[in-house]
Amino acid sequence: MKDFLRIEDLTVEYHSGRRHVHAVNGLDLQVGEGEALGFVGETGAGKTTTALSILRILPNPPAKVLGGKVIFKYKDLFTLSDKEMRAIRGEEIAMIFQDPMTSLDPVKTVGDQICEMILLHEHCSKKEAWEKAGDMLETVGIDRERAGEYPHQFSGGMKQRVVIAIALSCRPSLLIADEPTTALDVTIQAQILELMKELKKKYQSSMIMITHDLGIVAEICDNVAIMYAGSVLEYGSVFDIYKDPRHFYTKALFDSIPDVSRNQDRLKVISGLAPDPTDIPSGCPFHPRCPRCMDRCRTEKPEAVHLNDTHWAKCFLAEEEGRGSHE
Amino acid sequence: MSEPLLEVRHLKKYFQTKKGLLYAVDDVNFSIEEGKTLGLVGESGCGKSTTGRLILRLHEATAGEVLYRGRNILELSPREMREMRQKMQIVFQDPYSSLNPRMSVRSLIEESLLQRSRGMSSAEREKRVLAAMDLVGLERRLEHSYPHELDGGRRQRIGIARALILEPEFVVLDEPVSALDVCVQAQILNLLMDLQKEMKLTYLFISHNLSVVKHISDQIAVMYLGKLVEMADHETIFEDPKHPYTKALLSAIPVPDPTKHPDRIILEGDVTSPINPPPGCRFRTRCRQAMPVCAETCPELMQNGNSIVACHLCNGGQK
Repeated sequence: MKDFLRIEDLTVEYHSGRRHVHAVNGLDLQVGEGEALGFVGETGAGKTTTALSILRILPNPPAKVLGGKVIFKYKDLFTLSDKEMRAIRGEEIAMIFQDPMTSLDPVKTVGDQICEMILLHEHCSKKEAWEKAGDMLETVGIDRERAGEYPHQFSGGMKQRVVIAIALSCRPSLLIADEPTTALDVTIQAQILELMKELKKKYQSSMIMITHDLGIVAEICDNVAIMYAGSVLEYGSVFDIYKDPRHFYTKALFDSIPDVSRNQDRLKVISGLAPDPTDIPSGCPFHPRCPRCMDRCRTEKPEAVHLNDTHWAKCFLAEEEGRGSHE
Repeated sequence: MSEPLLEVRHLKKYFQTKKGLLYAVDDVNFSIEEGKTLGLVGESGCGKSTTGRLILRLHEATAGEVLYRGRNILELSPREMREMRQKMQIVFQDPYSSLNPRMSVRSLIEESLLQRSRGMSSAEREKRVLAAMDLVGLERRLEHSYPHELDGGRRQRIGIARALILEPEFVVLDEPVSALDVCVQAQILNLLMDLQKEMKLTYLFISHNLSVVKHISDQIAVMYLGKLVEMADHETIFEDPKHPYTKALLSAIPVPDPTKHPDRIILEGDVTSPINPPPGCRFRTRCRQAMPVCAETCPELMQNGNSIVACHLCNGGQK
């Protein structure tokens, strides 16, 4: 299915006092069936806001969706009733949050928490649900005997496995993972990534992986969207983005990663600061920090320049940059 | 070779808990030469932050010595220690929680001065504060701002200014960039390296992120459950890691290159509890290459090529 998930011109604002925070500005994006999309950007780029708007769980107020469409399996999610939406959440689209320590209920056993999800969406007895919860725990590498234990009896990595078990218990066709490994140690992160790769293969579900770690994206994703100031600046397959980045922001992002396989004295940094979301720069949002900023970048918003079937970048110099790098 | 500025000998810290003794730091030895950086790496709960705090006596050590220019600072009286702290400072991990939200940038930085230099005129203090702000790249117009108005990078700059205004010789950096975005992280790392050159600082850089540590350190020490398992210069650790734990730690870093898929060593399970650890090598419960001897005796740190390693497997041939 080509139109598995399509986001069109999504615009979200947060209202705080008299200030309007432009969190997402006219975002367009597509996720194909079975595809894993990496959503990369700095803090405040609007990654999580986009994810929450897909599920319609943005806190309102202060957040407000000003426009746009989210089309999931030919249905516009923004036009559905609350009841229809509830049926989609968890069953069709599930989300894994960043911090496993706070996303589990401390006074319920993990088995009960998985059952809760199953009982909500499937017609089955409590006993069957408990059985299924045990199966789910085994799938994520936890003994089913531990279903009767409470979250505090699990370590951070194990808690994240429980969260994944809850998210996958109804076999959602789209999984949104919001920085699922940021709160974990590297060796535990490696375990969880391995698990997610396995489960993705097993269930064939689509995935949106929100992260600021370009290493994780390289490992698990098929395509990447680079987000900056509430819009996508560049989109393409991991190979295109990592081997032939065309937007200057993407390039700068790669340069600032400390690379273990290279010896470098100083890290390259992007001059200036991430833009104030209450006052997004006109024209190309990256222009105040761009090393090759031209006059027209300040006033004119660059359209997406298509470089091949999937790869595009919103930069006036995107085509020219390609020629330069091949020489 | 120059004299070490700081030498840590047989440093131990045990915490009494309900379940038994927690071996947070267990017989750690290392030294740092003047003007150099030692990177201390390990997972959460391995005792790396405790080690940093023991050196500054923010925790009192159970046993061991911390020699600063040859003088054991663990024996100093509280008054002498206060003097000493002027030379030894710490920058904390989380710039969001380590700054008092009710104090302005200026008073936050001035606070360290007030503690140490009684009798300094307010004009002199203001001059020093502004100089410190310039040093760490904080715009002077932010003097009267409050921490919540600033982003993480600027907040961490306040933390650094607070530590450096006393012109210390030695700074413990406890995960100074872990809470920051990649781009800001790069800025702060560059700043720390520039300041080191300018002020001839000696750093103990504590982090869980090997790629960050590589960048800034001369020597790197890897810690696991209270013990050092491997120590070497920063190139050797990355090019020729010896301890199975170091290897696993290195292979766990996701590489930002879709064409390279490293042969990852996935460690089973979690870090074992540091409370009443079993005898023998602490890593053996997660080690694939564990041998019977690993359960009997705890391996000692031994010279192995350019590294010092504590592993029966690596040091087996050397005996």
